[in-house]
Amino acid sequence: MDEIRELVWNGGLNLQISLHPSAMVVNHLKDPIITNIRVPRDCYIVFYMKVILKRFRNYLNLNINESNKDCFFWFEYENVPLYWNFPIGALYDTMTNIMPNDREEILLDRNDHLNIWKLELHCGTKIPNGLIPIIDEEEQIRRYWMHQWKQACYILNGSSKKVMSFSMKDWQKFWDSVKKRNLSDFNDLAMKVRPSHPRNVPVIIHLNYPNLQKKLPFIKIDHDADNGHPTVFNVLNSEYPEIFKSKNSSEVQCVCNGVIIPLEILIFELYKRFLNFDGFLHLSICFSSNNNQFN
Amino acid sequence: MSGLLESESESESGTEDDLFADSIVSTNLDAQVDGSRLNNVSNVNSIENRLEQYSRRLSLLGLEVEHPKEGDVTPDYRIDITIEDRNENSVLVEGQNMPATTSLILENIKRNIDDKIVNLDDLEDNKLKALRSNESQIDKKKIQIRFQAIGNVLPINPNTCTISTEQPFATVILFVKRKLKMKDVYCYVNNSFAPNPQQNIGDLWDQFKIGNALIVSYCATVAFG
Repeated sequence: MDEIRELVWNGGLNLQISLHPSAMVVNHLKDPIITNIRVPRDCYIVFYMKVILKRFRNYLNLNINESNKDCFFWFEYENVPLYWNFPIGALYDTMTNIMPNDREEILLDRNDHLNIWKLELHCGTKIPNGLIPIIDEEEQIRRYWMHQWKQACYILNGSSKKVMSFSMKDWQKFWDSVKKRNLSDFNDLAMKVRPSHPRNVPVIIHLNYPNLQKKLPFIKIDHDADNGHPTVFNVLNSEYPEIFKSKNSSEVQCVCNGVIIPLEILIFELYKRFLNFDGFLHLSICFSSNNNQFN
Repeated sequence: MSGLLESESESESGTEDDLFADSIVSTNLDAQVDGSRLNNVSNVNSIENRLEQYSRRLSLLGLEVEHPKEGDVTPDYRIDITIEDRNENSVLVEGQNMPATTSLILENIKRNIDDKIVNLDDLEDNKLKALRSNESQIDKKKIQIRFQAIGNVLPINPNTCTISTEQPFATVILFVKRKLKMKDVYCYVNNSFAPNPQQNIGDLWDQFKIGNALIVSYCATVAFG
């Protein structure tokens, strides 16, 4: 179990970020300005905003050292804005819809020898509809993340008391563990929130068909009943009965942290190993991109 | 307490027809100013003081609402939360469109997905149709939200509203802001956490409802971390 946690925690994603003309100084409009960065899958992409802006500083049409309260930066993938407030790995799995097994083949077809996700950095005074504007930098992101944990704690325990009783020192240690990628500190604190007999399981399902949507399903665990522990299939089947009709479908799969998940696994067992840094288990539903399977 | 409840009911019934009365503040101010013909500044201050007291009393009442008395909260007092889609403040978070490559991949297999979804024998097809129509009914369903003021914030009157399950939580925040004419407002569910504004109200209600309502408390400053 520790080994799986470590692999999930250390999972990374290669990003190639290009600067959109909206954010560029006029002189460089003809040159493609790109930067490559490897980020952990299990983080918000905005953690790296400062690093990315610093790399672009010579080409940006505004000074990043000054406060630009009327200007917002955001990332887009093929003109679709990225919601920064979900782990970047879950967004990648959903928005590219490339099944982990097919990635190598498809990316090689496109002459990409490395598995790289190409994003664009945009800048503007009006943020796209639906995105949460960042107005208070790290403090806002930290608060958002804390409230995600409070919500996850409420779902697991029926109240947020466990996280509410964290001292400031605990919260700082918890936040540092996320920023500095310290798994053992993270596990120490996450274990304090997670009961051995949870009431419900905090899960967010990302679906890309027919459009990108997120769902917070209500997953109750009944410890007294024989079949009280739902499997991944039970959850997906009750939320999307049209898509998940049988356990043995190869056309549609559940992907979590870049791994195809066997549907018969118990959802709480999966949560214990694959939970993300915001206290939720993020599941992406991917459709097989291999057409042969359908013929 | 019963006297208080009556006075609340009266004021509620006063605004009952006027579903989108600007706010309880203006309604009461007008009423009191008219009633006692108070026009100078000091009197306005005293009205403010009285309003504060009134708000405190109402906050106290808000706590009682956990066990509503007969006739205390009735559907008559409920209002529908609908936020007009104004461009500058549009909060409707619909499903995002897909990135081009992804939609291309999905387009290729779309027929197969659809085939797979509808490739059922007639019986199952009918079941599916029934299921889908049920789902669409559920989607259109409206749920109840009960508002609770924290601290020295004016109460929302009536404190129970209904909202469509498809709306994001941002709609509720915007509703409170407009109703109370506040620039910033902090909204919490079950006095515990501030949900993601993109979160679907129906999902929150399913997960966190108490009785039959989602309890949303609100404050002018940070109340819960």
